[in-house]
Amino acid sequence: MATEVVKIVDPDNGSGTDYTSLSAWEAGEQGDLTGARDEIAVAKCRCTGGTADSTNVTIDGWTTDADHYIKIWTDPSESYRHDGKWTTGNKYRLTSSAAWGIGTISIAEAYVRIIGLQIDNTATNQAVGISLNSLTSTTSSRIEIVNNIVRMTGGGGSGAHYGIVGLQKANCYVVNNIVYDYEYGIYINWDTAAVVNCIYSNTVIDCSVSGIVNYAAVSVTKRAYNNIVQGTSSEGNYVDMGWSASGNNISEDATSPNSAYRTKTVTFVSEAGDDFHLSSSDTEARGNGANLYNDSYYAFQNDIDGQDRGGSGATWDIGADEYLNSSLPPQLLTPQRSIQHLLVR
Amino acid sequence: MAQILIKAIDATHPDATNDRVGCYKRGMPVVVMPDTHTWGAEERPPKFIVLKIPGVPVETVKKYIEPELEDGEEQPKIYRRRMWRFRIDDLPAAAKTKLLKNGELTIRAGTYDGSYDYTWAQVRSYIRNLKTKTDETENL
Repeated sequence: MATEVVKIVDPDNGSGTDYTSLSAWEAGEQGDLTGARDEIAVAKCRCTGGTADSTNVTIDGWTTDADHYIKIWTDPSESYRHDGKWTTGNKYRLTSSAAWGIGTISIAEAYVRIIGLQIDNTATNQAVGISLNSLTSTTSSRIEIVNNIVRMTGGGGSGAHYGIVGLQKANCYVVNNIVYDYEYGIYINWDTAAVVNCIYSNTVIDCSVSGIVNYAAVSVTKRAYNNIVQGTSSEGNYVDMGWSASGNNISEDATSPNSAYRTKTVTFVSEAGDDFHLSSSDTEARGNGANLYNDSYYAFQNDIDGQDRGGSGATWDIGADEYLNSSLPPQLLTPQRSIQHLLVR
Repeated sequence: MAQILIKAIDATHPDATNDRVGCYKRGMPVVVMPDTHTWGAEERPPKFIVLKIPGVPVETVKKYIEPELEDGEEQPKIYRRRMWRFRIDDLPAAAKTKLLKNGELTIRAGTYDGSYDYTWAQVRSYIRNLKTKTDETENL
């Protein structure tokens, strides 16, 4: 059984730091995880002094498989993960000005998990948050992009700007992410590899051309549930050639693949302040999601904050955030949620 | 004012293309940081060495961490992990020994007039552009 080898990445070089950038970690740990190393390579990202990690990262030149993968994350048991809203201070964030599609994170390996990061691209020309475009298409793969905030603060120049792109290259599970201010939010291009793409519970805001794009070939199993796309998109909040399965996807315009969820305006805590937690006054996303606790492709239970959405039978919210009135004791929540909380406690 | 973190050992991949495109080789610059930056426990020999260039802004030396891109591609595609490589093994014996023992060299360039190991003029001819196959001739 593969051993997790955890290295600490901290731009501030706090106690226990192995690497001061994710890029240096990738260079230092690069190799064959499947052979003698028999390893899961883990980068645990911290931010002890408030400094952002400012070099883009390309993950390439490794040998990985389903049991020997690369995991880059902020550990929620520490204090360096965002709380569902872009945060500076002691929250880890990766920002870069990598242009022309290189991506703040570029993934060219088939077994990679990116969990709980804040990712920004400040480039003027073709700014990309996470790119899989350098990956050779393969069905022997598993890419998980979960609980991240992916934003663009650059843009305006030449080339299209993408939040998360190239998903058609691998089996990809894009879950509980907040993506905003790109031209395209989440993009599945055309490819014939018979991979699975699950786009679940993401919140995609103000992507000027389109929020979620699916041009995948019929050979791709593409599933979309519980996504929110809001803002004006010139080609539509959703552009797709058909999903294998979809449900409960909200659009602000008339392009959701699910007709009952079209022309819905979701109320957030502060859209102007980029706080995309659901507002207590929201009536469109709250309580209207599909329960994916037992999903056969990618089962999960928590939201982007790590808050419990409830198990089997619970009513879920749509989007990356599950609204939770933390001031209420469990006995005042819905029966299902109450049971869940009691069990969790 | 800059420091360059440089890979000191080869990474390898059994596939030749993956090896060229993906793997850092000995002497390839990885990241550039300001003078004030302190390095982590793994960012030193045997995995890495550091060139300290106190007189030069970070932006000036960022070109050394650019990948080599394929020619003629509409969409930029990486041909080699890095365009530049510091020819560690071709350094004069004294310089190489000092670098690998201490893990760093301080280079005099720009406005810097403090203590140093070598000048940029001495060092630049050991920094090779892998695309043009010529050594650096420009001043910083």
